[in-house]
Amino acid sequence: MGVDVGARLLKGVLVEGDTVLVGLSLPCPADIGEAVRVLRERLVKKAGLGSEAAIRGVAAVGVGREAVKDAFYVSVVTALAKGAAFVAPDAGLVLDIGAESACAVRYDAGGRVLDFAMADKCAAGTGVFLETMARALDVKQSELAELALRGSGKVKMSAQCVVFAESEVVGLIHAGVPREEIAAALYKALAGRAGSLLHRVCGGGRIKRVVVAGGLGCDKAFVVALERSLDCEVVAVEEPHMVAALGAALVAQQKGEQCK
Amino acid sequence: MREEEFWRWSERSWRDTKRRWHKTSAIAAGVDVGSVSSKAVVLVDGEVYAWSLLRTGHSSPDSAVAALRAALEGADLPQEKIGFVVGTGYGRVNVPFADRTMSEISCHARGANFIFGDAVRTVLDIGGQDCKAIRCDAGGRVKNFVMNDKCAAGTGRGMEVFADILGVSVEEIGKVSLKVEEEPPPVSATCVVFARSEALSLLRKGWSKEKVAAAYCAAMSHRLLSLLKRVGIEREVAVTGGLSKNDGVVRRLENLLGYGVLRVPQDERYDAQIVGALGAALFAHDFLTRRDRNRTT
Repeated sequence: MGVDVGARLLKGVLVEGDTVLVGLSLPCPADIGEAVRVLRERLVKKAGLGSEAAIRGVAAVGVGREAVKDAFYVSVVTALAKGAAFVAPDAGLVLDIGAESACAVRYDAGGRVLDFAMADKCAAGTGVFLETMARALDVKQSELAELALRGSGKVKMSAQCVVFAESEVVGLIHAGVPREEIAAALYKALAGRAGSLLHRVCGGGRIKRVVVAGGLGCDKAFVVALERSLDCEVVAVEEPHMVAALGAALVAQQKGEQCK
Repeated sequence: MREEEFWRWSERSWRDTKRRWHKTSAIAAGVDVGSVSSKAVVLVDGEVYAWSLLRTGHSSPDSAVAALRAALEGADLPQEKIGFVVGTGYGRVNVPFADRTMSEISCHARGANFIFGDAVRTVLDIGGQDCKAIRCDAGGRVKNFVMNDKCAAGTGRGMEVFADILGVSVEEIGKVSLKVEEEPPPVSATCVVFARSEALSLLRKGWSKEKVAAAYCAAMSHRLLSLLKRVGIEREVAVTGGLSKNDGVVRRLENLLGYGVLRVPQDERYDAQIVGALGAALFAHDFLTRRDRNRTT
């Protein structure tokens, strides 16, 4: 079993051999220990395993991973490389934008890490950025994405800092700029920052294919913005937010086999 | 919604009621339109005659007009008598009546030199949305500078965010932070957004407002010190801008430096936020006297 304890969501995946059995995500409460117990119970039930004893090993990843007891702790970089190599072995690059951090990893088909870069000092390149801006525009984050897809992309944000961008958004609203354009500008700004993170690890040259893990992998507006910004293909994967948990599960499995 | 606005600071203005302007033609003004505040300084014969400090509104040109009007409010000096106006600051291109614009870096160095004298070699200006560390010579001329205008950490805006979560007026937060008996470790996150979550969790853990304020003021003083180090610190160091009024930040910065810094005295004659506008006005005075000299020769 792999568990990804994020800042907003708790994700779990069960694997057996080369097969992913089930994946689940729950909101992350304050008591992570209890939530992990619930997650484990539900995963076993959903997979129809009968007993929790079927879980041979647990690996945990993410900011709150230490709250998972009796687990092998994996770094997000390793988990992303393993998970992305499993779902898209030849993409070679994975980007994960979490609620409070962003991470880009270059990996090989075997899931080994070749290079990586983390950004967790500044909120502007993370999920908090869109969350805060959605609030400034008084829309839900899903609505922000829909608005952005309708924008032409002609408006550009000048602020980089989340705090300054918030004032800029308010200024743009007052100036009568349509919300679609503001939303598109926000996604473009975030995609730009994600692009520079990817460029730091891509090993030179143009980026052709990239896996977007995490919640933003399901966000069409972000995928489109990143594709436009880098002129690349975002490899479509099922359940992008599960990639790190899947990677952790694969590590847990490897560890289990080594112990045998 | 909370009724109180903890980020709000007081607008001010001042005028030298004894100074006569009727017999001179050397009347110059500087207008500094910042992202948060707009300032105007009027000089008569190169000496401060009047100034104002207002919050910047939605429009830069309107804020510039309002600042100059506020400085001259109640005075019998009509605006047309001002021979030269220099605009500076973030909104300097939007000062409608400016004869010239100049960078706020030059203006801050010049203004600090005027207030503190030739001993000033480093000026740290902590504004609402940026922060500059400036090295200058004995004449107030800029030798080098570094600036942060990309990130809210280490600016007045960051302190406003904290004033809001602590429910303490931004003007009081420094004093409040000095009430702690023992210094807490500084807030570890640099980013204001992350520092905010950190502070909220500290408050939930039972930390007092004073302690959280102290932790943030300490973090800010560390950040200011690193900006100063990047430009190279040479004494005397003068600190200007809105945040230089914050004792909690400045005292801690002095502790890190190991010596005192120069601060604009908070009497009625000056305000720490008008230094850039004052520098602009001094440049305006130079331009004016040079122009008049050329005309007479």
